[in-house]
Amino acid sequence: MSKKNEELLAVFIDAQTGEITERPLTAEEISEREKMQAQAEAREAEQEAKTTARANALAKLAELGLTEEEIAAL
Amino acid sequence: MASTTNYSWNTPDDTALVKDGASAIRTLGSSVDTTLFTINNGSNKVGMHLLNTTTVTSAASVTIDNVFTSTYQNYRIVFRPSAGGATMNLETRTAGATNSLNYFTAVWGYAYNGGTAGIFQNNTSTFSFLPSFTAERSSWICEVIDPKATVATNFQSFGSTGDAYYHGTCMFLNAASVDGIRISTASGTFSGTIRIYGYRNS
Repeated sequence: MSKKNEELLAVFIDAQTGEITERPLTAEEISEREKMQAQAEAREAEQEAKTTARANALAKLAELGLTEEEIAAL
Repeated sequence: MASTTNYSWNTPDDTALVKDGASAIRTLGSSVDTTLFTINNGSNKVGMHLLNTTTVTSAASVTIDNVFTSTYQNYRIVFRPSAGGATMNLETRTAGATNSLNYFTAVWGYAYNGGTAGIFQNNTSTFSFLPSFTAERSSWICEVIDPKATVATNFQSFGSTGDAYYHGTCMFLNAASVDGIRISTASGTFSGTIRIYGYRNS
């Protein structure tokens, strides 16, 4: 087992018995983590692109002579 | 006069007279009645009960099984992380297995610097409730509505990352009766204390 797997622990608690167990993540769980992280990064990139596009659009409207109040009213 | 350890209810001394026993029992009973009434917020029918406290250290995931039972209909999860992880996810559990389908999520985020963000997921394998935990700056609270119902379990979530506040909802649309949760991070590990409370209906 790789060192990376040993460092990533899954903890299990049974609320009825109080029993606590630990084990390293499985290869499948690690793969799922990587997939989720990629999805999160894609979401963040999309959000950032939207924020940038909005800022650019607002700047162009300001260049056209619209006041802040007029832009806010759109 | 002697008294009890936790609530200081008066009890008779060893040398007290037997003839005063009835009065002493009445006094003790009244004290117990008053304390219980206060603990239950002036009612004997409502309140929250702490069901489970779990402290995790450097975990990639934590699974708490058999915490949702027929005793309570609705629950609250309170998590105060002491070390962070990135992209925090929640999944439901049924009879020892993780449910990895049918999560419908809409989470809105508001950064302290005025920016906005969101997490919107349509029928995915997990409920992503926060983009990260920031050690000792974050917190997360989640109401779990009717997990034992066999139609849908709802999660109403709110929390902070250290630079933003997020609130949102997730519908786990599945006939499975949920009895546990799995909280995980997609990157790194997390530490902290998770407490789960049950809301009493009666």
